Amino acid sequence: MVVDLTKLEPEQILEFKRQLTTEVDHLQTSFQALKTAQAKYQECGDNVRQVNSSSKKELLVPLTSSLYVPGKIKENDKFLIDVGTGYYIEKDTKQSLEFFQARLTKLDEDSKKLEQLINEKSQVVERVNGILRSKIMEREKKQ
Amino acid sequence: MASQVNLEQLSQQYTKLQSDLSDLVRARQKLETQFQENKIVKEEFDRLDDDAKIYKLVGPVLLPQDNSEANLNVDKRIEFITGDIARVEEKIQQHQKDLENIQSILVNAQTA
Repeated sequence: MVVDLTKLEPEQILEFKRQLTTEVDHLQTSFQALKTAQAKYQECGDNVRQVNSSSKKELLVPLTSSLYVPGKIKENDKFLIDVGTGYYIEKDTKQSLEFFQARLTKLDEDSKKLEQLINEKSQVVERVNGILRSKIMEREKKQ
Repeated sequence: MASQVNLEQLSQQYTKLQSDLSDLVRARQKLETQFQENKIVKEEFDRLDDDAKIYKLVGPVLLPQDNSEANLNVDKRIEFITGDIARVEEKIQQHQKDLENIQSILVNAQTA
């Protein structure tokens, strides 16, 4: 259904604008979530690299947020990775890094697409705003 | 008077259907999330070597899992979720149709 916005009443345009803004807000939230996920995977990759490259195999293991015990890394080339829905897969350093890189690339693609969508939507909101403003001016002139 | 009561009932029914519909849409979204997550896991499993070690988180412990068993599990879960999605979709469509019906009755009553 195509509706000519310029033929609608300002109240209706306002309602339409409200809907659009909610949509844009929702997309923005998703965009933030993608960014958070990216940062997390980045950190995981860094950690794997750090554990693999350090010759000192001692570290402090957190038992609670304020209690740590000294520990040793027995193998610095084996990692368990959470792949979702409760499954973990054992991978070596190279595979782990590949895994995180693949996820990062995917997230990067997704966030680019999302960013474009957000830009398009924001432009629509701008245009609706313009129409709304001219409508209101028109009405004031009539009064 | 009788028709007024009838209309009131209808509009109540309409509101109820609307809230049911939004519940269904929410359920549909949740299923979609689960479906996507399982799909990602499945893709990851497909890339694995046969001797890769898979563990499953059961409560607080990681249990080693047989490779083929894990695969089967995820397949079954995907199948299950797909079925659920179809079921919810059908319900959503039925609700939308019911809503449209009531709407047209209400509109007719108003213009009459």
